[in-house]
Amino acid sequence: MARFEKLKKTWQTQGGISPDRFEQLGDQVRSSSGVFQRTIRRRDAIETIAAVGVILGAMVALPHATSWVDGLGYLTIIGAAILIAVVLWRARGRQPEQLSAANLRQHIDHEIAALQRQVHILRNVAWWYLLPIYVGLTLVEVGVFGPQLSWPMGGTLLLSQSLCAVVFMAVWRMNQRAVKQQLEPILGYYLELREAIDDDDDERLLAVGEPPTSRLLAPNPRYGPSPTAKRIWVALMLIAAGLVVAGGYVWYRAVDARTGVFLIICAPVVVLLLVVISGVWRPSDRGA
Amino acid sequence: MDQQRQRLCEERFEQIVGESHLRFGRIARAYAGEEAEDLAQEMLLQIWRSLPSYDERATLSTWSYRIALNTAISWRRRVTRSKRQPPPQRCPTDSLVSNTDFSDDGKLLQRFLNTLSEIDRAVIIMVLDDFSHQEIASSLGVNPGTIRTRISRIRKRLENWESDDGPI
Repeated sequence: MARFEKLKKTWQTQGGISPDRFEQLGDQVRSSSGVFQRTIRRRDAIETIAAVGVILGAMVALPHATSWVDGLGYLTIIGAAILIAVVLWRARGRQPEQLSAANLRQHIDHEIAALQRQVHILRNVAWWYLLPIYVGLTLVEVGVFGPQLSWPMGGTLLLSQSLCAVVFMAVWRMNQRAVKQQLEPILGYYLELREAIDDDDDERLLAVGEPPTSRLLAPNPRYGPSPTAKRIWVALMLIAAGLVVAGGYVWYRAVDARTGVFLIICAPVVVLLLVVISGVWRPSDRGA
Repeated sequence: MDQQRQRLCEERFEQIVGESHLRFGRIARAYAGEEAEDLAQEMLLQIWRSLPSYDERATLSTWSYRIALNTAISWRRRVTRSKRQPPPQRCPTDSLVSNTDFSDDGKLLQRFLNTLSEIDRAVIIMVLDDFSHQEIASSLGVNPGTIRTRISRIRKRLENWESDDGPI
């Protein structure tokens, strides 16, 4: 009991931050708040202008499409721009109000919900952002270059597609890394904290000698496909590529040489890119 | 009307800044060590943003204390995001903090707080700041019985705790 009273006395006689410095911090908060709001508004405006620009550009190009393939590509790009704008708008619109009077439990729930939304959006960035644009661009290029698929135009198409895929792959990997290295550890921390609130005996979160952060920062083992799933995935991709190449050869011999060559070249390239994007050679979080 | 509301928010913010430097400073030191000022600023920022929704159901000081504590517990989130390293465990020697003669008792207290889980640390800080069990329970969103159990366990832990420099 005496120890506790001493602890309390020590706590209450400890200095906080000096009033002058605290006042300065308050002034900084007031002045920076307006800047922050303006930055957010500017970012939203830039994103909206970019989406409108892409849509307008595709709409202008649409009547000049040389075939139904690039026409479909322009439409896909318009759809992709709208989809991206809607996803971003919904993501921001669904951000809950600031939980000013929230207790700690509600605060943590709020943080978990916000983080899970971010994780979901970033993990699926390929579906709502990268792939629709990639498909649209591919269709436009195939439509434009389609009639001249022999070299050098076929090579140009292949090169530009590869570059595009590499850029998109880099964006995808950057997002996945952000999820894995930043969001998931924080989410894990909040989930454990949430459990600890309900748990009278949260000794496992005690930090004697070891800061809890080090354990909580460990990669979350719940994500990532198992090694077996990876092997099956690669096998299916190789089979699919083989079938497309075989089909391309048949097409080359029997129907249309240019399309046949296109299929024979594109199938292995696409499979190679997909394998690279998937990072299938990396060690699995679930162990070998 | 908006201007009136804005003025009211600013007055309340002034009041919080004027009254809370000691309490917020202590919480910031307990959770962020040498980065106490950064955390204190984050607390004020969260309060500033939340003020328009303050509904007077709790006193301004209790309301702002709750936000400060929630922000402190979330501080690790920012630390992990920016540095991916644990928060400092050493006692602060920040020259901008008043009463900088951080006493031996103060260091031991800090060391003891560092041995507690996040939740227990929040509980004990509220106890040390003279909040009732009911207020602590309400701030954490648990029932008062749980708080009593936790406090009793922390006290027992304190009694048995030996630091490198000897007991408190």
